[in-house]
Amino acid sequence: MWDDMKEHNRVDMKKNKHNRCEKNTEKAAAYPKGNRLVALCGVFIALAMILSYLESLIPVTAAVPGVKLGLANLVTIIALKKLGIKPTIVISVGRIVLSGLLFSNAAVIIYSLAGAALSIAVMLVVDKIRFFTVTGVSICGAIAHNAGQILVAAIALENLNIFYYMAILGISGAIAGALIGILAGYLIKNIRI
Amino acid sequence: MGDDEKKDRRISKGDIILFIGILVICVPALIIWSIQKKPGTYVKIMVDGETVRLISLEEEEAYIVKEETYMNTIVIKDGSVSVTEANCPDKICVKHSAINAVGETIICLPHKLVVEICED
Repeated sequence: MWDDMKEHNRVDMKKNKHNRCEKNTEKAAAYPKGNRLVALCGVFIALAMILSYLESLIPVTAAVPGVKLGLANLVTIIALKKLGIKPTIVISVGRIVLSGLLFSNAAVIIYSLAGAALSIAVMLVVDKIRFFTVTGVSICGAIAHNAGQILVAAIALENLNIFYYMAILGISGAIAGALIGILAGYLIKNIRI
Repeated sequence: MGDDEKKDRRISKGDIILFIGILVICVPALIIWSIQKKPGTYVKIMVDGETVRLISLEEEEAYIVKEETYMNTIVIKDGSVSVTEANCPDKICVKHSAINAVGETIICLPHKLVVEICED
């Protein structure tokens, strides 16, 4: 009985949320528009930059470079789910270019962009597959990010040997992606934009 | 509602299969790779795809790669190689642990530097 009521309330709340957001209740995800979207993009870029910075404070003593949690990916995934494709690309590029200019140099920007481009492309495709949830999307994105960076590095350095990193980066990507994905799933469910 | 519930679920069977699948591919690859690795005999230092220098691993030497504003110090000690100093922004090459097995590399992406262990 009590459960029934709760269920009922939840449905009601959901309905209300939709009506408040946008008129098009047909689509499950009503993306924000206009000024609101621009402001949100700015907030997301700032958040992603702060998260990258926070992550750089954690000393990693891994044997292989590129093993990291990828906290910034959290923002990308939430943006992908809550704001849509175009804002996600804007946020990713904005974060990489800004933090690249602030903390590193042009070469690093190119490697990061390659990783991000492949990562977003793969996440978009995987997102369409109903078989996976956000966690699966996040795992695929993390691994694609690592693969993209190795690919560009291999081309730039004219050295194919570095592909042996892929095994370790695959494992680290899967674990980090799963953790970030679970966190993102929880956040997507609970934050209102 | 059932449909919504499915979408809201945080982990699906597909995710778990994906996760385990990746581990099943990568872990054996890593194990095989670490079993068959053997110590190399010399180290090849490459900048921008071109070999700059070959140094035997038996030597004890500190070699400084200098190119315009780029600088990396490569130290060979006790048969293993590490990059001890660099002026690149990310310092990934410095953080990389010492290498000694054939095929292992230390890379400094911003400087396009590759330090690779080889054998004759």
